[in-house]
Amino acid sequence: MIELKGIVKIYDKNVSDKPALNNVNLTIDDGELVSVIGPSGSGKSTLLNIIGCMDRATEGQYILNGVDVYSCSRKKYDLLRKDNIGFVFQHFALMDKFTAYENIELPLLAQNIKRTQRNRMINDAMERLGILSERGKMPSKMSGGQQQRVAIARALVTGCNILLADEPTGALDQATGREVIRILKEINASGTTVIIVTHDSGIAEQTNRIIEICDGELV
Amino acid sequence: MKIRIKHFLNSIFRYRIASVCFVVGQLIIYFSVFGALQIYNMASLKEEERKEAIYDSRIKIEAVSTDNIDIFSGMSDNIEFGNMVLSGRLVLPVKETGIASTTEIIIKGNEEFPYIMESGRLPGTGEDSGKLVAALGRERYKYTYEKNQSRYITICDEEYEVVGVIGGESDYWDNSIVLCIDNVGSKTLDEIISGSKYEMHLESNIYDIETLKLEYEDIFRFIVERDGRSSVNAVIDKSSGQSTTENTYARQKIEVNYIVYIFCLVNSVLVSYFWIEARKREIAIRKAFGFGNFKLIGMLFADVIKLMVFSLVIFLAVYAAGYRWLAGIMRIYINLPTFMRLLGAIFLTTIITVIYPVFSVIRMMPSKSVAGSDD
Repeated sequence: MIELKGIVKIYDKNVSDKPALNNVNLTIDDGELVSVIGPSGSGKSTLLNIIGCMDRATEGQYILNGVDVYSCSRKKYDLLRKDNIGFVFQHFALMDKFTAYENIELPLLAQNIKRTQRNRMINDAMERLGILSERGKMPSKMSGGQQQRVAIARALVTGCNILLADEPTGALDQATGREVIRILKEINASGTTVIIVTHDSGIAEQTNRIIEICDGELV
Repeated sequence: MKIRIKHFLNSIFRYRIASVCFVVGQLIIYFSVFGALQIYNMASLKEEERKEAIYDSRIKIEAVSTDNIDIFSGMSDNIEFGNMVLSGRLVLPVKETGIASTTEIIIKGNEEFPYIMESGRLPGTGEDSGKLVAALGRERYKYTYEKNQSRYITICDEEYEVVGVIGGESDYWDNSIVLCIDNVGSKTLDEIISGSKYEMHLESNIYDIETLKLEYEDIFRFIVERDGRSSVNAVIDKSSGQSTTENTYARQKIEVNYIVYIFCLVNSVLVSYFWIEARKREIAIRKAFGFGNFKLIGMLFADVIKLMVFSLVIFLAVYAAGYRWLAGIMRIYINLPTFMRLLGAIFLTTIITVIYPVFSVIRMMPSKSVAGSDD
């Protein structure tokens, strides 16, 4: 379960005192399919980064599966992220100079999983996403849809229980976007909490719960 | 194996431009490091050979005689212990080199001489009787000419057959010219005795200084009998002589190698900046997917070391391919001190190269580099 209490995020106090997030209180239960919507600059991605432990809040408390994230040591903090959270980014965030296989391998390398086990896990994830034949391809040689599937496979390969997707269809055409949402819903159906940040109200409507954010505050 | 090499090359050349710049800089570093190490080696080998050439018991004899009186012929008959050599200030003109060169003349050899022979022998054996013969250092030997299947050199306008080449591992002996008093021509002898001031060395590794002192008394009597107006002084030489090390460093311009090395280190720092800039996104993604700082720093170190090893292989391959040409510029001796110094240089370069990338990795927040969204 995800619990955010009084979260405030200010990026650079020297530049602006205006918080990117202001007093955000939010609870997301296990297995939910949630969308976060709001206009550009409203703080959607900031919220996602904080939930995903990619960024720390300036103030407030974040409890992830019963653990107070900000009172953890750096090591425990990294471990929480590695064990629980998978990311899918708008622009895929694939490493350009690495093959699809190597990109998916990344979180497994971070967890020091042995080569044979890695290989099996990667193949399973690729098969699930239907990209097994793309394993040796570089991202630049793949379509947007294929790249996003690789990104989803990478997020899922460790068996994370929370999947965060930041504008997962933002760089895709409509048909491919729909396909990606279908995949995310499938993943949610298997028990994974999925949080999708989107501009698209059509996508938001397909989720079980919509969280709207405006000027850093939940509406 | 082939796949592993391919994988290795792929891993180090993912960021081609930065990697190529790094490898080029590294090659120059290796040339400067090996150049400096070669000078170190040469200096230490040279110093070692110089020390090995120092006898245990030594008496330096300085004699001033009347011009053109031969005090040397027959002197050897009076010397029963130790070796006696005329050296020091003695220079004789060598036609082929066009300059006068320092020459040592064996007056008597009762025990083994310290010269390291590359080939042949020293002059003065029985078979040389009546002949003009010389032994030359490697550098001087280059100036010899061939005649009747032998090599010759012209000293004091007299033709000397070369019967031996002197040279050890260093260049300590390379400019030597060694003659024997019993095998020099009349013109050479005239040139020698025209000097009137002589420095001779009576030395032994077998006999102690007391025995040499007795021997010296005989020599003193011989010189005074030959030339009543001569003066002779002798001192027991206990010094270990002047070290050749500093001289070698100065002559070989070791500081040029240091300067090149420092420039290359600065270059490595600059390249590392561009290298980490090119990898920023990759590192941010790694961080976002659970790579901790230690793991990333370890990865950077491993990548830099891979590049260095690759550069070293290229360097050695280039050296091997161009051995004939490069051997004139540098000779690589891999012994333990060289290896340790090489490791030291690699270690220093690695540390300096990864300083900026390490700080970048520690400071990097993955959300800023990866997310790419406008929120």
